Formats: sequence, structure tokens, C-alpha cells
Amino acid sequence: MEMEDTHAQFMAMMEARGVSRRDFLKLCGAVVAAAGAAQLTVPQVAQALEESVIGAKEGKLYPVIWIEGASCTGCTEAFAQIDEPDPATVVLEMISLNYCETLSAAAGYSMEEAKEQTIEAGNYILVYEGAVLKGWDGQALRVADAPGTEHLAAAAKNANAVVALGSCAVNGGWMGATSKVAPEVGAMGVQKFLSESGISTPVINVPGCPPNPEWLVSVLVDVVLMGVIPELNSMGKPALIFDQTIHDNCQRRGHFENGEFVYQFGSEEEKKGYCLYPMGCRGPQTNANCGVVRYNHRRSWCVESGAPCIGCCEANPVDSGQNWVEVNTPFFSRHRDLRIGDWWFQPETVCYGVTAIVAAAVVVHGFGVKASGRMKGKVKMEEKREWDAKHPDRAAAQYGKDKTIIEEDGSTTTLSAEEFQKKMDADYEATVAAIDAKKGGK
Amino acid sequence: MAHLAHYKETHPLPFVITHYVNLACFVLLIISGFIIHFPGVPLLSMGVCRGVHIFCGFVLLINLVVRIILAFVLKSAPANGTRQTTTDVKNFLPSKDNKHTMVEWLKFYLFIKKDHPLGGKFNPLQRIAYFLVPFLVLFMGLTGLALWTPTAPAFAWFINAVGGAMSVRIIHYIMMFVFIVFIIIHVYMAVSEGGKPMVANMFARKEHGGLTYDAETMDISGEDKSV
Repeated sequence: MEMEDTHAQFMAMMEARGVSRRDFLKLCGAVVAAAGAAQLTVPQVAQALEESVIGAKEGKLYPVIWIEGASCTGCTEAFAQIDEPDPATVVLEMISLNYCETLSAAAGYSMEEAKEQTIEAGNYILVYEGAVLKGWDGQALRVADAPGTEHLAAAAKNANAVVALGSCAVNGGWMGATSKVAPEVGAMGVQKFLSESGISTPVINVPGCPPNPEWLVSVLVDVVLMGVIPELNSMGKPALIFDQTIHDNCQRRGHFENGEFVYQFGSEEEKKGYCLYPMGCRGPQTNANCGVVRYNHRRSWCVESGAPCIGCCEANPVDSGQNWVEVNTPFFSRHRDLRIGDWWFQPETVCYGVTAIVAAAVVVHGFGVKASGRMKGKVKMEEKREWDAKHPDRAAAQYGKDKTIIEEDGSTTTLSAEEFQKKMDADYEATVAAIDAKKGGK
Repeated sequence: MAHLAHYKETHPLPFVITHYVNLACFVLLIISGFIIHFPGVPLLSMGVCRGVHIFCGFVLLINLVVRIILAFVLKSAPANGTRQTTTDVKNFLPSKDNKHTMVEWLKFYLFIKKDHPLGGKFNPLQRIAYFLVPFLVLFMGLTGLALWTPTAPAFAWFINAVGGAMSVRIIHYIMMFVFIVFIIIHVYMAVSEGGKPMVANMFARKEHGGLTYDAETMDISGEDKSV
């Protein structure tokens, strides 16, 4: 009875916004798909969403603090660019965004106060966007008269969970990539910063540049509605989203297997929608479910729209060097660039260079061997090892034993070591004479 | 006569076979690997090349395991020019035959030393190279398997340890050139130093006369003109 009440009340709310029952169930299906959760079912999610929206109306919103670190606000933009009710709007209605530099209408002192109150009250989620800058004692990023690192540490300490949103927040992203200032600003991910600061709040890493809004939705559905932290993989990323490669779910995969590739933009092959692997597509080594969830209300995604994957989800929270910008630039080459000092090069350059040098050395050596006549027999076997000759008392080998010659018919002749050596020398002289005679004398 | 005789005992049949398998696998792996790296050869589609590449990779790894086991089980001659045999693995470890001869070999190859140095079947430089090959192949196999199943939890530790799938890919690529360089030098040395008798012995199992060697005294013991 109570359930029906909630339901009717909820549907009235939705209809007032122009959302039909059908739209709503589609949305619930999308949330389940986005979360990819086996334990979640559409009815469960529908009920949870209904209750939360009703709860929101009654003032029981789940507070969220959204802090911008060293970010371009691209992640916020991706989340906020919504033109029709979809999972994201519903989530925005089920949470109370108590602090968000980009989206909040208020600013200045009152905002900071609201944040402090939320932190004090506890039981909230922290969404952190952008890199953590530890450089200059945190002064590389200064907000509201305090270092950015202090804001993060204070907000993370009391949070139920921290969502590191975007590749910058996971391990530094663009800010962490090699540049002249990178060593000074000291960009790193949220997880690494918190573990260094001794804060044990669970971190959910959601990489991407920007991350798909639906990934954040699925995380919030899990944490806010279901009250659980989603299953995380070894990198602290939701396993159901990030434990598959782009390549495995790519709609162009068939072309890959058939050997149908785009080698140049604007070509006939590109028109046919062939595989972008030779254009430097990072799909085979990037883990995310972009091909399944797609972007912008599941309209399209990078590869569908004709761009090779640039691997924006590559981010190891504990290793700033495994940073998607670092490991994937230049985007349209098969490999990343390697670097020695200020010299940037593709691995191919060095590989072909070294191989060419070796091949050239072999050719030169070949001329040397030919000139020496070694291959034809112009070489003597040494009588004793050089070291043994110099250190006769310490030699392991026993020289000077009688030698046996096995003739062609199988009979044997025995010679003393000296006689045998004389014969060897004579054989050598004869061979040299024969070779020189063939050449017409020398 | 300045070269040691070539007997079948130098390269027993099982090792000739594993060497053939290695040869076939490396040729196929390198060709298919280049196409996988940058596809574009008609008729050799990605599916075919990946199939061949993965198949040959497993054959190479199994062959390696078999070769290593055989090295401890079978016997082979410790030097050219002798029919005496010892456990094969000893040919890949430092031996008394080769003591203090590494510099001599280098000098010989660089035309500083004129006379052919005396030593075991493989000289110290060869032993270093051949000893490293199994480890290189194993490491290559690990990077290959990690690229083959990039999401398998079994390889996650390795992929993260080297800095991501891109690093694995680059290591795999560079390692291929290590093998190519090895093959260039190996084939060149086999032909220029070993010559026809050695190649014929290795591939066709033909014997060839020459100086004989005694593994006990570690010295030339005479000459064999009968084969």
C-alpha cells in the first residue's frame, strides 16, 4: 500500500517534468546497464530511484561535495551538459550538491561555510575532479585562502567515499604528464595523496577525459541508493566498467579481424567505417566499456564518430608515470614516444637504427673475413691456449700428448706432438700457397 | 686443416629438431608480428596473422620447455671434433675448456689475433648469448601472453609493474628486434665461422673430417680424414 503511494506520487512528479512511465523504466534499464551490476535488477533500481526522489522532496537528500582540483572542469561539463531528463538529472535530484565551484549559484564565503557544515555533519560523498598538486607545499593550487591539498584532506577525512572523477584525479592526467613545470607542481591522483596523508576513506577511481557521466551515475546509484561501494578492481576502478578493453566491444572489431583498415583520414576506407588501428587506435590496450555505454545519451562515442581511441582511461592510481597522456602521445602513432633527455623518439626509430648498424657491421666484418681468407682455410688452430702458454704451471689442459691421425681408409698413424705440429704447419703453408696460386699469385 | 671435425655427436637429432622448430617459429612470428604491428598485407588478414602468431608463440614456449628438459637428460659432445659426450646443459655453462679464452675470441673476431683459439663446442661469447636466449624467450612469452589477454587478472601485476599495456607492447616490439639482431649475428657467424661443414652438420646431419679433440686432455688429439 505504502509502495503504491510512493509510486503514484513519484509518477506525478515525473509527469510534471514531461517524463513518461516508459521513459522512466528505460532510464532504470540504462542505470542497470551502466552499473552493469548482476545483483541489480530494473525493478530494484526503479524502487530505489522512486524512494530517493521522494526522499529528496522530504528534505532527506544525500549530500555531495564536488571539489575542483587542478582541473579544466571538463568532467563537470560532461556531467552538466544534459538537455533532457536522463540518469544524470535524476541523480542530480537525488543528491544535494552542497558545494561545487562550477555549478553552485552562490560563491565566496557563504559557499565555503556550507562546505564546512556539510563536512562537520558527515555522511556525504566527495567527488574530486582534477589533479592534486602537492608542489610548493600545496600552494601550486590555492583556493579560498588555503592550499588545495588542505581542502581535499579536510573533505576526504569525513566522507563515506571519495570519487576520483576523471583521469587527472586518478593519477595526475594532463597535469602529471612530462613538462618543464611537472616536477615542480607535483601532480598526483587522489588515492595516492590520501594514502600518503594517512586518510583511509575508500576511493573509487573513475578515469576518462572526460569520464562518461553514466559511469558516475552508476557509482552514485551504488553508493547513494544501494549503500554499497561498487566492486573495484586492483586499480580501485569499478570492475564492471573497467575490466574490459575498448577493443573487445568495438563495433569495428569485425573489420579488424578481416584486415580492413583506415590508413588515412578522408580515404575511401574511412568512409566505409573500417578499423582505425593503423591510425594509432588505443582500443586494444585501454580498459573501459565505451563501446557498450557510449556517450551523450548513448548516441555515439569516439570510435563510432570516426576518431581512433586515444586511451583516455589509462590511469594507474599509484603510478603517475602510467598516465594516459604520457603513455599515449602522440595519439596517431602506434607507440608512445620514448625520451632521453630532450630527445623524443618512437621506439621504431631506435630499433631500426640499431638493427641497421648491426647489419652494416656484419657486412663490414664479412669483407674482413673475406680479405683474411679465413673461410677458405687461411687460419691455423692455435697450439695452446694463449693463457695456458703464458701460465704453463696453472693450465688445466694437458698438452703434448701423442696425436693420432685417422686416414681415409680407417687406418691410424701416431705422431708425437712436435711432429704433428710440424705437419700442421706444413699443411697450412700448402693451403695458403694453393689459395694464392688460385688468385694468380700475390 | 685448421678446423675441428664435425660429428653427429655435436648436435644430436633431438636438438636439431628443436632448432628447426625454433627457426620456423621465429620466421613466422617475426613476419606475422610485423603485420600485426602495422597491418596492410593482402590476404594476410589480422585474424590469420594473430592466429599464426599466437599458435607459433605457444609452440615456441613448449619447444623451449622441451629443449630445457632435454638439455638435462640427453648428452652431447662438449666440443667439435670429438665423439665423447657429456650432459648437454654443461655446454651452456662456463667450462674448463674455455677458461681465459673470452678475450682471445674477441681478438680473433676483430682480426687482432691470427690463430683460431682452442676451446669447447661453444665459445664464451656464444655461451653468454645462448644462455640468455631461454630467458629472453620466456620474457617475450610473458609480454606476449599479457598482450593477448590484457584483462586477465593473472597478468595485471605484470602489466602494472612495467607501466601499462603500452609499455608491454613496446617491450614486446623492442624484444623482437633483439631477436632479429641475434638472428642476424647468429646466421652470419654460423656461415662465416662454421662454414659449409658446420651448416651441413646442423641441418642435414652430415659429418665432416678435421682435427680431433680430446675432452679429457682438452687438447687436439689428432686428425680425422675418414669422414
